[in-house]
Amino acid sequence: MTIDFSCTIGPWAFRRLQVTTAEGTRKALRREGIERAVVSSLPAVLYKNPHAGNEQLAEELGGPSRFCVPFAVLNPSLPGWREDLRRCAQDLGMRGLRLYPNYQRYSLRSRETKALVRGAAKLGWPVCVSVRLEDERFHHWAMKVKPTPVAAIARLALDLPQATVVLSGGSYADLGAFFSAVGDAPNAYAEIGWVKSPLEAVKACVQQFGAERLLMGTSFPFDVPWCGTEKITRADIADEAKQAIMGGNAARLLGLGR
Amino acid sequence: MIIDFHAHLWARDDAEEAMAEVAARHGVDRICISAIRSYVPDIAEVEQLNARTLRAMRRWPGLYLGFVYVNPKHGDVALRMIDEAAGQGMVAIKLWTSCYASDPSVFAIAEKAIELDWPILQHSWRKWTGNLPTESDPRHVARLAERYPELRLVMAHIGGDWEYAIKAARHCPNLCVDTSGSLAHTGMLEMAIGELGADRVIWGTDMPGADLIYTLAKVDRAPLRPRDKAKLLGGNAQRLLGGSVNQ
Repeated sequence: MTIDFSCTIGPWAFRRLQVTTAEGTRKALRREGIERAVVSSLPAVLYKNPHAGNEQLAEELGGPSRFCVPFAVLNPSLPGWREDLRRCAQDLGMRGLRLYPNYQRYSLRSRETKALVRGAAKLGWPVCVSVRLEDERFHHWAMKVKPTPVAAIARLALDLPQATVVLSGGSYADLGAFFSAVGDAPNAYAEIGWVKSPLEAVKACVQQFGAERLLMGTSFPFDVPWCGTEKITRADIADEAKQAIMGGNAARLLGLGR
Repeated sequence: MIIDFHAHLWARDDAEEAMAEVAARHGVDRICISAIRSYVPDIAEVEQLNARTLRAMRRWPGLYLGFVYVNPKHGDVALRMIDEAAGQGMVAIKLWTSCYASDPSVFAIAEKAIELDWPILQHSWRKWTGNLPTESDPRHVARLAERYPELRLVMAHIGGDWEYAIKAARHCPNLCVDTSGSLAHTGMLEMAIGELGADRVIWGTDMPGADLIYTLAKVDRAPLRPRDKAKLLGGNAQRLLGGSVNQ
């Protein structure tokens, strides 16, 4: 099974995206042979009330989807996140959590953040923590956002071993720092949509970090989806490693069978 | 023929060997290389870098096409380096971050390129986090293209912020863009081809600092017309570099 672990749905304030709908996303990714995609609301990143983005995404999906696996976007520094988490799980059918501490300005070390991640872990949800959405050099002049510190994401994984923590939007260097910090912690994963260097990037990742904790991501609709898949399928690595990264690891995290 | 218009010898000592091996595996026929290191190099460093390019060309004669790297601030020395490079079989000029593309010191380099009928590959990135002190914005590159309409100029990385760069470049028919680097944004190639035409968009990687498969897929797998894809992947580079590609 081929699973994309880094999709967002909806418009983005700073760039006109070609695809903003669930149906458009499904069509674009299916063309690349992707069978399931973890999706979250893109406008929720910037909404003062991110849960409105979760509701918007649920409306857009129109009920349970065979293709989309919806993840909630929540900000633990805002009031009411516990109730929002409950609604995401019970009413909206969400199956994971995605955090943007850099855009939403909260610390991964705070008591509330850890409580939210514990809450997600109790639900059996993976927790993706975004390092970045866009190349910092490309940010809008009115909103320059620094990457989420990788060390803090690693600390979160180490402090809460009951939670599955997925580093998302990390470069090759970010992955190096992350896996160096977490060691062989089995709950620490990385989605590799943002790994675009060095020369043989995926081969280098597998050699350095192993294939067991890497997840394919396309960063769609920011990036074209075929680069994210091709760099794995054409990489000079074992077929077993390709299968694990392309979807085997993600299926295990999401509890999906064929 | 697939031609990578933008690769470097830097970041690792074995870049030559590593790129040759990966290129062979993925069907890349020619790689345009320049050796770079410091943002504003002195003469001795530039000489060392170009010597490295020459060694690679000689060791892999069917693969590497050498671009001579110069710092335009070196004046006549830079011009002499270009003449020497022409005698050694290099085929184009690489300008990086020594000065803006519109700096008067670049004018003599542009005139030399016209005289030799060589293209210039000019680095450019519009960084909203702030450019290096003399790193060219796409508008600097467009100014050079405007000043020398007979010059064949290539703006690297589609200028980074591609929407900004394409609009800065579109009125200059002698200004092309290359697709090298990490950005593979949706809509990027469509806008480049739509605004500039497929004749002005050239595939490049930025190896060894970039993944070959990722940067190749950007164009190779894009839903472009086959005729346009062939131009991006090699036809345009062949046109710019002339017969040197086939030697």
